[in-house]
Amino acid sequence: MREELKLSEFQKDALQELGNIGACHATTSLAEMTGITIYTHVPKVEIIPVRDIMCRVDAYLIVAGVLLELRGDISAYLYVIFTERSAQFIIELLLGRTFGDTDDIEGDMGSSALKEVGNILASSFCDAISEFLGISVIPSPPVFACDMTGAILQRALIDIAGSADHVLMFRCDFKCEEEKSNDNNDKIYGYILLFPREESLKTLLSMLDEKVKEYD
Amino acid sequence: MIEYVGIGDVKIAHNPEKLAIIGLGSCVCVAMYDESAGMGGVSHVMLPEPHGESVIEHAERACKYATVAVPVLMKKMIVKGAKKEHLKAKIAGGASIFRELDSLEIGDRNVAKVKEMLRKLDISIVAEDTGGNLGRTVIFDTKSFKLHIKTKSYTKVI
Repeated sequence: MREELKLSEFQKDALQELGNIGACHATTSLAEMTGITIYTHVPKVEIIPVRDIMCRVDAYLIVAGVLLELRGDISAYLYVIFTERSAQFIIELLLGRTFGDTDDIEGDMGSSALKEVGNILASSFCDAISEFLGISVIPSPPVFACDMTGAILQRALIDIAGSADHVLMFRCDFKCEEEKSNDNNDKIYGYILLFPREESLKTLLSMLDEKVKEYD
Repeated sequence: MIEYVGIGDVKIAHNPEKLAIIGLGSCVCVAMYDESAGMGGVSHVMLPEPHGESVIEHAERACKYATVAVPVLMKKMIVKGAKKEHLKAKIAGGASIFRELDSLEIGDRNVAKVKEMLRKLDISIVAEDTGGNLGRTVIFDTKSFKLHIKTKSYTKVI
């Protein structure tokens, strides 16, 4: 009988903080790329039964998702997700297209641009946590899809939830600076999701424990 | 009333209830029904079969695998009053969402395994909407025994 995945409050905080470091670096690179101030929300770390995952995300919502597999000292799946509208906005911004042109997300130019944005965000995320923990994490080349959130997330789940009944989901939302007068607040809205494999979660937790001892 | 069927869940419903799976990617929805009993069931399969470890002692929890889910769905239907010889199936899903990553071809393997299991149990598949590159949302109506399928580019009733 396998052990059930459980986190103490302390471990949860530590993982949240680790993710926060990664997410802040990632959104900083997004801000540099777009010239727009990006806010990061407080990240969430949850252990979710596999059967409930689709209820914890807006599974039906169509989003633009970039997926990377992380290898090296830890093994995980990382998603950078944008709402359709903000994917559109980012493409227009980066490619200098006219605003309001709506067929671009899945075109070659659009999807390459989004893949690259996802790649940059993911690399910053990995660099930050690698540096913090003194380990090496290498992201795979990015792949892209624009579809229902649930369908997009299943790609990671078939791999990590094959033998597990629960998965750990780290989520950090980000959005652009609030603007007072118009409806542009969701011009950029997205989130980063990280699903570590079970054995990598253990590695991460023991590394974080070590880290805490250094400060004691 | 609509009830959601999560990954690895097997649920049974009676006329006029509905069973739904939202955002189906490479997973497969197996809908089974007995028209004369006015009931249907849905199973949400994630993988073809368990590899290596023994999961059979937790059969309920192992329903994310086609090899376990399909027989469990049939048994549950029969326990709730369906007749084995009346059972029919409709399936949907098994897409490959990340085209560049489909070396695993997990969607196709899921569909193939589900079909193999149904054949073994002698349950005929009367309709299917499988494969492709699009995520699906499916709703199974136990009144009409129709599977309502919606993707970002088409809707279909099978």
